Amino acid sequence: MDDLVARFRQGDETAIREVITRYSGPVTTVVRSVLGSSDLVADGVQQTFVKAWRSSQQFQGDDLAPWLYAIARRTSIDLLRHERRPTIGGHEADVEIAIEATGLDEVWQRHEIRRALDELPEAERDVVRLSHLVGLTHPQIAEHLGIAVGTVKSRSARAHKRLAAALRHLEPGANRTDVPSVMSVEERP
Amino acid sequence: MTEFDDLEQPDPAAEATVAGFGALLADEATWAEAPTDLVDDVLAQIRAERHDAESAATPDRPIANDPSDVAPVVELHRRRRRSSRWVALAAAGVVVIAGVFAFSQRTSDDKGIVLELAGTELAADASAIAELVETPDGTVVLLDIEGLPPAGPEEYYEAWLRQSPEVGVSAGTFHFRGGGGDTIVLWSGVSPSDFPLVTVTIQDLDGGAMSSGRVVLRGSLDE
Repeated sequence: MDDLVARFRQGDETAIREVITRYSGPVTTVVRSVLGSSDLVADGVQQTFVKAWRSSQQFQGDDLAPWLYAIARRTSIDLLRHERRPTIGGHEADVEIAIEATGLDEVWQRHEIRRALDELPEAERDVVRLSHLVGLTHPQIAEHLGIAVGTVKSRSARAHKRLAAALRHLEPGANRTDVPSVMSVEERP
Repeated sequence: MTEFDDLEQPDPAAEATVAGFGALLADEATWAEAPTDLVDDVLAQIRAERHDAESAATPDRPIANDPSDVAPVVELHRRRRRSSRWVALAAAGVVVIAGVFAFSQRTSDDKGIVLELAGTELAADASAIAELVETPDGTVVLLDIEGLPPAGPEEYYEAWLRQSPEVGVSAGTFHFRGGGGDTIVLWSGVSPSDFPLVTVTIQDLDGGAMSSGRVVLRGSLDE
């Protein structure tokens, strides 16, 4: 990871490709959360990584995820501001209120959940997706995937344990000192 | 061995934690797929920007030395002096005005320099007249710009005096959101005789102090 950060900071193209592959999921979740199902999502995700490359010399940390989150969120808000300005009449205050209503904590939570989901083994991730997003029952998932119900239950239980461990820092009352706060992330160069 | 022999038992605490995020786990945005061709699109844009930077004037990236890309110098006495320049200087400070005026009056023939800046492909419709007036305290850089779009909310413009492709000094920043009705007054701590190339770049607020490499205007005293 340290080597990836160093190579990304140097603008190494292989490192840029690896960073995009590794973080495109969480970045897409952030952009989509701010912009909704807009045609601008693809542009927002692309611009996030281009801006990250442009400012990679200034990156000082060892974890790219919160830095990319801040760039993704800021880029999305800029796109949203541009898109809304004509319809709101150019009143900046109204635009800011509308954008902030998106919810800082919720966008950050979505980002962290997506990171945790992307870390799951593919088989477990499929079960979680079919269960939570599609809304299938365990027997329905078993039929859909062509596996035993018991296997679905095992994968679900293991996936939930991994997710719970990865998301513990987001629970109410959790010690968040190890997690960059939204505000400090926003203030990074 | 049956299918249940290795059954992983649910952990109630983990199940409760995940249930707490149930609404977000059920939201399509959480699972949104990254755009197709994202890697190729990002790398294509980065390569294009690198190519532009290599052909532009930057302190950390090579400058193109194509003479046709640089507008000619116009001697001070031939320029059309705009009254707004002195209004702008007044805004910069009465004491400064006195110094500049006295010095430029005394040396206008060989110190005051006017040159035209041409828009690059990043701002093809833009042009500018730059007046460089050396004073005892530094060089006043007066910019009359036309056709340049206002900087975006997370951007600004930065003017540079350059000595060579690798060495340049910032002359200051502006955003041009007023539309260019007034002369922009900047200061530089170097002499145009030593730093004869003038460029304007568009910068990102979170892009650091170095030049972005995205030159929108340029002109040279050497042409």
